[in-house]
Amino acid sequence: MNKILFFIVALTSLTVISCSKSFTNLQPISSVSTDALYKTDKDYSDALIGAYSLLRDQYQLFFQFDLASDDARHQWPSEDILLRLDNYTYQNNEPFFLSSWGNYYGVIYRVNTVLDKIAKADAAVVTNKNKYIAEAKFLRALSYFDLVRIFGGVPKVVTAITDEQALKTPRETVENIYGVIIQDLKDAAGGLPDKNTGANLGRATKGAATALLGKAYLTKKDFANAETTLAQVTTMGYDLLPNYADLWDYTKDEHHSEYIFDIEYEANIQAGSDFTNMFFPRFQDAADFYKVYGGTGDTYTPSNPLFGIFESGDKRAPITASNGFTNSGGTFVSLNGSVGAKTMNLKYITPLTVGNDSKANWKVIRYGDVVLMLAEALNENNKTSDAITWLNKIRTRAGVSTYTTLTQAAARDAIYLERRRELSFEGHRWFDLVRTGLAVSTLQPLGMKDYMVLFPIPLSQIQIVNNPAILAQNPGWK
Amino acid sequence: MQLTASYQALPNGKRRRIPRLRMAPIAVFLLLCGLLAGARGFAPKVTLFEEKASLENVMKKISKQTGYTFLYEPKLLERSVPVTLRMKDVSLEQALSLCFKDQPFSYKIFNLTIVINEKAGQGEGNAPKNKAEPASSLAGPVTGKVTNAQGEPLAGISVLIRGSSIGVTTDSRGNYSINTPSNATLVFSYVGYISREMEVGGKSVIDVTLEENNSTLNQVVVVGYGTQKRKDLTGSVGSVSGKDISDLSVTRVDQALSGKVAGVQVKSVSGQPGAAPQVRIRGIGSISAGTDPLYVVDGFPTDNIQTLNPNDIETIDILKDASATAIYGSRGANGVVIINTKRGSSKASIINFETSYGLQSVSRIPKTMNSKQLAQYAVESLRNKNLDAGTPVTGDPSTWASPVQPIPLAILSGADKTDNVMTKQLLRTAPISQSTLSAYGGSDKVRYGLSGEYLTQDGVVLGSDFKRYALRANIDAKLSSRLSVKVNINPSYSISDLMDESASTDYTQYISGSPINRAQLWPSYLPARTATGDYYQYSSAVASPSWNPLAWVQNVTNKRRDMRLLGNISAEYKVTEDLALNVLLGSTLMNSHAVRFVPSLPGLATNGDFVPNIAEGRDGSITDVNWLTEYTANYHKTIAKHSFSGLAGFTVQKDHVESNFLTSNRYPNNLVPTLSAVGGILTGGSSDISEWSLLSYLVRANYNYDSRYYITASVRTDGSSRFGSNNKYGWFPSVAVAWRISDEKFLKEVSWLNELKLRASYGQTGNNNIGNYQQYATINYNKYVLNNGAAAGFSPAQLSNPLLTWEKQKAFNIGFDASFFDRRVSFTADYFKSKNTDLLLNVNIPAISGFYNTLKNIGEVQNTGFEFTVSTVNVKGRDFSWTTALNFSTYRNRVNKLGPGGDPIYSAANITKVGQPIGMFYGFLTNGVYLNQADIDKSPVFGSGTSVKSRPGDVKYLDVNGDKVIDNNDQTIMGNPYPNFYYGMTNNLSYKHLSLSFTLQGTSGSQVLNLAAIGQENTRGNRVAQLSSQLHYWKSEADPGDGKTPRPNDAVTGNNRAISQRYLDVGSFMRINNIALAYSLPETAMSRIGLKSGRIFFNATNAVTISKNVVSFNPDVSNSGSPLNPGVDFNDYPLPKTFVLGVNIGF
Repeated sequence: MNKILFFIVALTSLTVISCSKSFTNLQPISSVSTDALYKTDKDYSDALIGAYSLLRDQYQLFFQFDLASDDARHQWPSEDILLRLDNYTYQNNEPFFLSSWGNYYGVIYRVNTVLDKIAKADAAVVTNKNKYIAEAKFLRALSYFDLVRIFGGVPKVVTAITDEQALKTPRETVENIYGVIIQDLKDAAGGLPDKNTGANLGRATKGAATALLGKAYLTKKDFANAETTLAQVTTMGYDLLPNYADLWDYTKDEHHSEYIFDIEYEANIQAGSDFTNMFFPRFQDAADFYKVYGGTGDTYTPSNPLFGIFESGDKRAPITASNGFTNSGGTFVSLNGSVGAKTMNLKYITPLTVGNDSKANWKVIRYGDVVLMLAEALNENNKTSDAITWLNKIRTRAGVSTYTTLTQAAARDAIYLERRRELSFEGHRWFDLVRTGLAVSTLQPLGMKDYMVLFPIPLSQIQIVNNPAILAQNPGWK
Repeated sequence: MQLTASYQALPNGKRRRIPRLRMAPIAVFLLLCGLLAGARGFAPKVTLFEEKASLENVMKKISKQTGYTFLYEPKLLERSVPVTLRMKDVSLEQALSLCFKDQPFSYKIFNLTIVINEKAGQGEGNAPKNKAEPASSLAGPVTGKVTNAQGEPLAGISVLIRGSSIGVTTDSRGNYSINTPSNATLVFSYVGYISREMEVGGKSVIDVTLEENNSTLNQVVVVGYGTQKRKDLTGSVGSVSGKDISDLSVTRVDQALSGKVAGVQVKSVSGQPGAAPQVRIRGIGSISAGTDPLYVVDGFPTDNIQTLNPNDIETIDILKDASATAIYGSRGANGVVIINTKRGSSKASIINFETSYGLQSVSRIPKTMNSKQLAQYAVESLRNKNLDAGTPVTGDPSTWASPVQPIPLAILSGADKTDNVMTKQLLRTAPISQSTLSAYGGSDKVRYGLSGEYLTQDGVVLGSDFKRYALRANIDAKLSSRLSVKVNINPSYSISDLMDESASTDYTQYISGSPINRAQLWPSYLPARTATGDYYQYSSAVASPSWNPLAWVQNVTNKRRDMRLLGNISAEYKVTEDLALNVLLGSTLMNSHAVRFVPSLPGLATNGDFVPNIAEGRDGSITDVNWLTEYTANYHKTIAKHSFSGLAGFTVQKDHVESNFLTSNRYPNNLVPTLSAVGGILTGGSSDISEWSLLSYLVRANYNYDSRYYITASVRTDGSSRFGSNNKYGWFPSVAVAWRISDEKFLKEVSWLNELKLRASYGQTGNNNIGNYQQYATINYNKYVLNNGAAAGFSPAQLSNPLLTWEKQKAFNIGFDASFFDRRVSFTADYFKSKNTDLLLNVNIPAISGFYNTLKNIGEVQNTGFEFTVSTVNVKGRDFSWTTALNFSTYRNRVNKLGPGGDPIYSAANITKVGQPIGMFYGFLTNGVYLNQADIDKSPVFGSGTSVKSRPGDVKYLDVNGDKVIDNNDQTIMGNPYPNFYYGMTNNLSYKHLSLSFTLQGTSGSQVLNLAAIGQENTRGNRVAQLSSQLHYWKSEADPGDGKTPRPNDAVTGNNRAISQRYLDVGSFMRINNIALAYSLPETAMSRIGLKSGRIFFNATNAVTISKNVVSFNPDVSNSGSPLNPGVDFNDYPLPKTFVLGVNIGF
């Protein structure tokens, strides 16, 4: 009897287990294997959103490159990359460089995966196949454009690769990377919609691809192509906002006539940016006045020389560089805290109820930039008077006098200066200085060394590859 | 065993006369004495070839061969006649009858004792009978019963009148009767028990309880899926008895293990009530797959022992070498801790009530500057900043270009008298109390062990506490002569109010989420509260932003409720006497629910906010269901001198975890802390399900010949859901041999040697803590903003790895066990070498692949070490005894292989590098400070030509790479978090009813890296508190201070704040871990009030720590469980010392 009882217990429980052959084959429940995805039209759309999302991370950091310029100061005595970028003491192992490198290549990997998989997709199922290919290429081009400007000739990866292949992928020439950028942007312009609406508002458009292509041409000093491409953008229905201040008014929709391509942030849905906090001075009255809740970064604030570049009456001046504010009683309050920034920039200021949750977007490229780039290209192509026409559009909106005639050289200087006035704190100044060859002469007095025109390849990447023939450090960095 | 003057025992024939009191040669060492009871469990055989040998010698040999002890009056033997005998493998009975054939004595076997008496015509052994002649005219009969601690009667106990040769033995029911003078003293003694003496004092009934003398050799050791006698062990197993644990009156199992077992390091990393310990066995064999051992509680493999009531524990056995752990296969590589709980005893029932109350407090707070010192330091730091910038430092310091803030100036002028040690405000003397009611007993058929516990403990940090309610029911039922069933049920419920502690994600800075860390950084010139009693909050102009830690501990809710049910049932069916089948079904159910609420308060503003923080709440729960079934067959057979046992089994286990949380920062006010208050506006949340499964087959065979030659072999096969499709099953074999040399002929006659056994083993084990689903290319969910709203997307989260497999360990162990001088000195030594390969590493790969790293089985580390245990019986007297157990262990860890490029793993201030131990401290080497400009000019400096260049008074770093410049390339291994050796020592003293035990524990040679010091030594003073050790700073060329402390400076120059040797401190320490003092109330007194026993005790835990360390609350610290960050201190929850007074009553 006992024996029987024992065996009944033993056998029944044994059967329970042995009947499930796949006992040790458990599939993820709260995630899914990639094999199950990249099948439907929506899968590809979602996979591209996955790529955009990484740009959100990267563009929260993007301003840091510009800290190395002469416009922006870091005004908090923290001992970090922000200060080191500001005073040119950064080294090759800063996590900031690694995360920038990794973020851009992360985007490239995500879109390469999309491109690899979508190549085999049935266009009847993936009905927006061509649009997705174009969008993927736009994101890839944007990533390479930033990479090449930051690090120089970087490894070229245009398909999803294994880690073994990654160890053997060498740095390319700058020229070849631009080759990828230009081809991708041409493809993107061909497949992207003129305008996105509804649920797609915020995704890349034909205008974004074309404007970025123009910028790429301009950066590599291909002024002829830059001119034609940028001129094309002027026919796409974009226009300067009549009022410069409206560009920075976050009660209005940021997708206005001057918007071409932004990295999108939004408050109250755990998708805000930290720009408002990061760029705000540590000064209680200012925080109260502007209703900025949360911590402050005292970074990306105006340098003292920046106050001197504006002509009187320039509407951009008070928005770009300020050293106080006029309170509700009409009294001007100076930023005079004993620590923290003494100057501030208003481009990203918007009232916040939760810290680091600002709706301020990052403007990757806007029509004002296109106008100035077109002016620059025209001037370099010996069409100085046409250039002045475009330049004057910017000046007119700013409320300052227009130019009539200028020599080509004077026009060049005027355009460079106008870019500084118009686009400060939008992440352009550093790259403009490097692009125009003025970086060393301008920034050397501030501590920059001549080799710093390129940022260092992240040390960890050099160490992982451990082969200078494949991944060499930029000159001057060790 | 206690011997009297008149009787002499011959345990194994190696005993000579033992003085009543004797100090062992080495005063420090000592041990539990015990008599070898020998090969209990199979019929003893005797082989004798004697030619006119003395009876005494023959008895010795018999004793040695059989484990039986002779008990006799020495004078008797004077009348013995020489013995001539030739016999081989005869039974004991036969041997005795031949030996005593011609002797004028009779003998009788009681249990393991052979009592010899004069042949007086008395019927042999018809005990109890008074064989003594009246020794005194006052003689009268005394009767009584002798029982063991479990209340079971003891037969064959010798009962002697002290100083005489008169004695009797107890009968099978434990009863005796003896005629004795009323002023005599009776001596009760028996093999394997501690002798007792009782004064007759006119009583006619004397009942006695004898305590077992834990002879280490006969101690039953729990090994995987079975038990063995220590004598028969082939592997390396450390044991701690339940008595040792309950005597300490600790609330956590780990506290009882600290310093007790060689090769087992227990760190109480946090003083938080209910916190998990860090237990490491034989070094560190993994980098990222966890280094915690596997716990097996009553046969159930689990990962949590925190809800266990230490008083319930019967034994803890720690399997250390691979031959012992290989039976646990892919979970054995970090060692196995087997815990069995107390079960009922067959006859007598005992009810015990124990209650204790104690107080806990923090003995030492790392000393920071007082307000005057700090204010002065702040002024200096700003003076130097201005000097460096070339701005004048004349006039009122508040008018300098970089001005001194009003508060430090007011302190210096005496206008402000604040002097606040913020940490003290957060600490308290906290009570702890624990009560356990237990009952053990039963009948032949059913035995029970029941216990209920209530523990309530306040933490030494305000706002933290812990309560535990635990019940245990262990039932053993014999359903028939062949079928028996065991049931264990252990529900527990605990409530913790938790204090935040630092996380490894805080390592990039000196400030963490821990209120104690914040308090240690709070400048002493700032009060905790304002004059009106509000929490003091300063603006970021005054000091570095921090919320007020006092406000935090008094207002933040962080409560966790854990419900846990461990239950298992096992049935054993004896097919034959030799073969038994077992089935075990068990499960653990765990639910943990945590609620957190940070109210919006002025004192809690973060990061220099000027408006109050936003109230935030979180609600999360985890449910874990883990079940196990196990089928094993055990076979034992002894044929002549061949003893064989075998085990075969099949077991499966599966775990299912569901976790979820919701958060919101949309609370309208502080009134309702639960998420119901946010009106459905949740701002975060997630829900996850995860599973693993394990399917295993196991086989083990043990063989020994004549208890001299042993061989053990085992194999386990594990299939796991965690392994990649190409590596589904693992195979874990082991083999071990042992040789008990002491039983060889050539050593049998060495009287001072009782036991000598050599052991060697080799085995393979694994570590399967590689996470679930790591072999799949899973995805992450991402978010972007489209159309001004959230848009969801996804991206690949990791690369797939169908080759993913467990980490493998191959381990070799060689050791010996020896005992000498009548077992008064025992010695165990082990040497081990283990190599762990296929370590799971997040290998750095070029980020151009889209990933920074990928999981690969690629790393390799090795551990080699020695372990020594010495146990001595220093004093063994009638009233006073003293034993000592000392253990000493050491290991060397070495990384043999990392990722493909061999690039080191940098983890905050630690580095893991090939050729070095895991997680060495990494940073700059320092050589004091630059004493003057000439020193600067001739030395390599930092930032030459920049505004942050090194100046006199700045830290002088070593130019490690010799390029004449100080930069990041000069960082190197700067310190070692690993001790050269670990030691522990336990002394047990008893005098009559009083017993005292104390345990020392310590390490030598390690360093501690204090990350909090990166703030507390950051040369500012105007921003955060500074350690008092920074007072002897460089002031000028003429007054360079101690030559190593840099000048104060608000701005960083010379890379002064970089992680360097400045932040290292001594990690060596010696601690009196436990002191346990107990007084057992006399039984006579207790029985008068109807109680069986009574004991009053006083315990101190973590009483005294001796160390040169000045920066840590406790030098034995490791803020993170990660092997990559050993020895990092972040000034977290301090470890308190605890003093407890309690009483235990049995009835």
